[in-house]
Amino acid sequence: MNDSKVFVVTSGKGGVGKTTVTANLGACLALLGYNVCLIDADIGLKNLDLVLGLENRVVYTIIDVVRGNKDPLEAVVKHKFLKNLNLLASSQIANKDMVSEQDMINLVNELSKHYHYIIIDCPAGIERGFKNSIAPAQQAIIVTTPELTAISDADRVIGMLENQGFSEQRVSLIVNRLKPRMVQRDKMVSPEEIKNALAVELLGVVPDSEEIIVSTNEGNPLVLDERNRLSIPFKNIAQRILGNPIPISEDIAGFSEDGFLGFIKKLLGRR
Amino acid sequence: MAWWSPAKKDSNRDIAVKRMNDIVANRREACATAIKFENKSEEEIESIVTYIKDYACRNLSVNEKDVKVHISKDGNIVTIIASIAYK
Repeated sequence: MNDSKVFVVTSGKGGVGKTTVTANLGACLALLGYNVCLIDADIGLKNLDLVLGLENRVVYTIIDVVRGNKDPLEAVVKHKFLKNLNLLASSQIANKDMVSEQDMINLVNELSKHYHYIIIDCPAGIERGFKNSIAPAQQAIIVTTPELTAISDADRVIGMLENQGFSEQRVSLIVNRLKPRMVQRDKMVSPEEIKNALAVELLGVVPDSEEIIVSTNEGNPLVLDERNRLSIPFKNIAQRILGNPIPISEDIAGFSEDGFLGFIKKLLGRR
Repeated sequence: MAWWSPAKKDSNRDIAVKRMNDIVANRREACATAIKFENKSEEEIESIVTYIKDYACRNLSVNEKDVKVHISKDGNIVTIIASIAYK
């Protein structure tokens, strides 16, 4: 597949939801029928296999591929329910210096022949692991939360991406863990304000929800549950990646209702 | 602000937005440029560093402390990164 699209999900700051976004975005694209490969580039601190519930199925890792012991296709693991969602896991006993930028480019070039979408889960920080992750990527997705610490780090990462030759069109932003009611009460910056400050395109907004923790506990991307309302923003993001202009307001529709009606809706919507 | 002040206090969000824009603006103002040279002597590199600092001070109206020049060597390739913070 020569028209394979390669994304890197990055942030600078740790704990903002890069792995959750990678898993759910990959699952959405797989649900739409595309062949997807997720690469965990967080070498030494792997998490993506846990979020996907594949930790017991991983036999070979990215290190086996880089060392030439295994072909990339032999090392990838298929998801339990979505057979077109695949994972190239990271190694917990290796370190980032065991992989180079050229290794990542070679690896992605090989995988590009077999998958429509390749999504790289970048480690936190701006060191070796970050540089390795962005090297083969065509598009960068910056994940931030509406906190100044995360926004500041996102800005730094955008600057580094620009220095590496990423044009404005190749960088987009996901605001994760938004609390719409806090925005309404003037206690939190809005996605629009973050977008304007960082001067990048807004790809989506994911409201804060306990459902994320529940889905990680179960090892199932939450988008696999159609009734889960948090699947809507991820599905919208997948549609925007495919070129369908879904309004950003639809990502948080239904997440900001206060009062008795909101309470009842929340009760009915909860699983 | 004293408790009896009639001035309206900024909302928490207004403060956050102001700080966010300050953080981003400061960072965007720092302009970094990277140029690579090969097979240069120590004296030549030092003169380039001095030239960059002098040029920035004279033409960009910045203090010398706001001009940071970082040198790294990899074999016979020398990379000089000049970071100039100006307002």
